[in-house]
Amino acid sequence: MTEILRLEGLTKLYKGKEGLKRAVDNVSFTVNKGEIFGLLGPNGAGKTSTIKCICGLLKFEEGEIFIKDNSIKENRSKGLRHISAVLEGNRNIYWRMTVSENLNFFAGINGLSKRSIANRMAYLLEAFQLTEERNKIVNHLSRGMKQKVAIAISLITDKDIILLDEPTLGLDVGMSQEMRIILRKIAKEEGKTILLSTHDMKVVEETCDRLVIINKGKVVAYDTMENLKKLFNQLIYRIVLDKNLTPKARSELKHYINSDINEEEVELRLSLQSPNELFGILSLLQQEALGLLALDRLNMSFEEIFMNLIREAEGDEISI
Amino acid sequence: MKYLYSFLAMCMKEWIEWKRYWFNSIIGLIIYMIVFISIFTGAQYIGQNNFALGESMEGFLIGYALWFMAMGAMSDTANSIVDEARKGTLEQLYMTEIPFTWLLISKNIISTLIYIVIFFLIINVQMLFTGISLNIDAISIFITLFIGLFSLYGIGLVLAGIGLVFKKVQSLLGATQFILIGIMIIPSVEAPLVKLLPFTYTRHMIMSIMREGKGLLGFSSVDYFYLVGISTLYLALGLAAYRIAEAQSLKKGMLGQY
Ligand SMILES: Nc1ncnc2c1ncn2[C@@H]1O[C@H](COP(=O)(O)OP(=O)(O)OP(=O)(O)O)[C@@H](O)[C@H]1O
Ligand SMILES: [Mg+2]
Repeated sequence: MTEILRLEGLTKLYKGKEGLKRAVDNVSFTVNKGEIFGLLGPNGAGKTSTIKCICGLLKFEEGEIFIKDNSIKENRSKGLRHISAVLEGNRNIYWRMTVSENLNFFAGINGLSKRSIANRMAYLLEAFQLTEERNKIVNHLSRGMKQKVAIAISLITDKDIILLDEPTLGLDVGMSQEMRIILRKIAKEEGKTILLSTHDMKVVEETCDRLVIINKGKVVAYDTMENLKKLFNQLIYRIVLDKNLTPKARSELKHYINSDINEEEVELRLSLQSPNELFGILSLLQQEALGLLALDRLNMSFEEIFMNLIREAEGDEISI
Repeated sequence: MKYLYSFLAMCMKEWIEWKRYWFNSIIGLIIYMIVFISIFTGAQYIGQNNFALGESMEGFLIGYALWFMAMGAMSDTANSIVDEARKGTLEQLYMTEIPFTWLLISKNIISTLIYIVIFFLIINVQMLFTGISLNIDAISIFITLFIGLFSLYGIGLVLAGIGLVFKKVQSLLGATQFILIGIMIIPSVEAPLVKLLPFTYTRHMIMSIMREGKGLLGFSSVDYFYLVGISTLYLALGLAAYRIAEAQSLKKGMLGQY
């Protein structure tokens, strides 16, 4: 696997009314050639700021960004040679021009002749199912169509790395699904590296190979999709008792307990490595004369894991 | 080659937009002509065709056409940058390998050509209407205007920079309009400071060509020094101011926000 993009301690500060705000705080990760890499985080996490720093549209205070080993700080234009991007909400296209006029224009200002891109344009229009729309004015297209046009434009120049800020934002279920299929296709057929930001778990789950989760500018998790999914398959059991835990039971169950328990609570959430651990737990409860009202296994969605990681990072107690 | 293709792409875009919104441009021109005709007939009625007014009518005719063109050229630069920032396309223009300055210069060259054509067009219609005859030495006028207009792009860039950072460009453009009127009616360029104002020297030379029949060869090297020097000066100032604004915007992340 060859590394194509590397962030080292990226820090972006904004001057605000309450002094300096660390919108991106010491973020480091690497993206490999040909993978779809996710940048996941809630609103205001710093996703857009991170992407803009990579595109050279935002000057950052600390850290470094390397695109194919070119430092963006030292040689912006050399780095930009490998990058194209669609920023928030498909605003990067001229709404008053047609689809093919847009494609030609953006190829042109990147120094490509109309003739040299003719084949690629036909390929992209086909891949995005935009051939019929090619002579329509962008403003007359639906939101999903506009988003497809925006992404097609980012591909017309045939750069290696495509940055997509919230590519499925505001799309309906069907369109979002179509977009995910297109993204996978681009990565696979064309060997493009895609870095996409989103707060939609489904998108990352279905498309990303690896991802970094950020919250309040800080990296909360950085791993392969597979490993994060293991977290997903954690065994979480919910146990409801007829009375409060005894002190002995509480101390012995402490390392299983996955949620806040206050004195009053009779409902516990336990996280186990293996279902066999239940034998020990149940006999302990029996010894302590605690009655069992309910026992069931909980399925944790990716979203819950995500929220948990964020809460953990914020230093709160974990709860599911 | 890359630079040429990006220049051609900018031309294409201007052409496409003009083609699609030509109606707006035509309306602008019609309003312009109506205003001109009313001022002209009003003045004629008062002055009853005396010789002195005939003289100043020539000046008015040229000055008014120059002002219209100058206003368009200047606000075009400022408006288009601010407009692209608002739409979000400015960020894309900043992400190409081709430096943004080149795209900007391409755009200005195209605007210059368009505005000079418009200038010739309205001058001719005005001559037809008023019966005033002027020396239309196309080459001399073209070259003088081509160089002279760059001083106004300098001012346009300052306004664009202010627009990027402070988000207030319409009111400023309004104010500049009046300053430009001032520039067009300043009677002479004898005072040293007046010479240094943007476009005054260009206006002075255009008047000499069109009213006195001077040609490019009729101007002295001092004339050319002022024409080229002032354009270079204001363009450089404009670029410097824009650079400062651009650095601020890149720091604050405002290239795409308006
Ligand atoms: N130009 C700016 N000036 C000042 N503060 C900004 C600016 N842009 C973003 N911020 C702040 O920086 C933080 C990170 O913003 P950013 O837009 O990068 O987050 P995001 O993850 O993209 O959020 P969203 O999901 O809402 O798009 C936010 O708190 C935001 O208010
Ligand atoms: Mg964002």
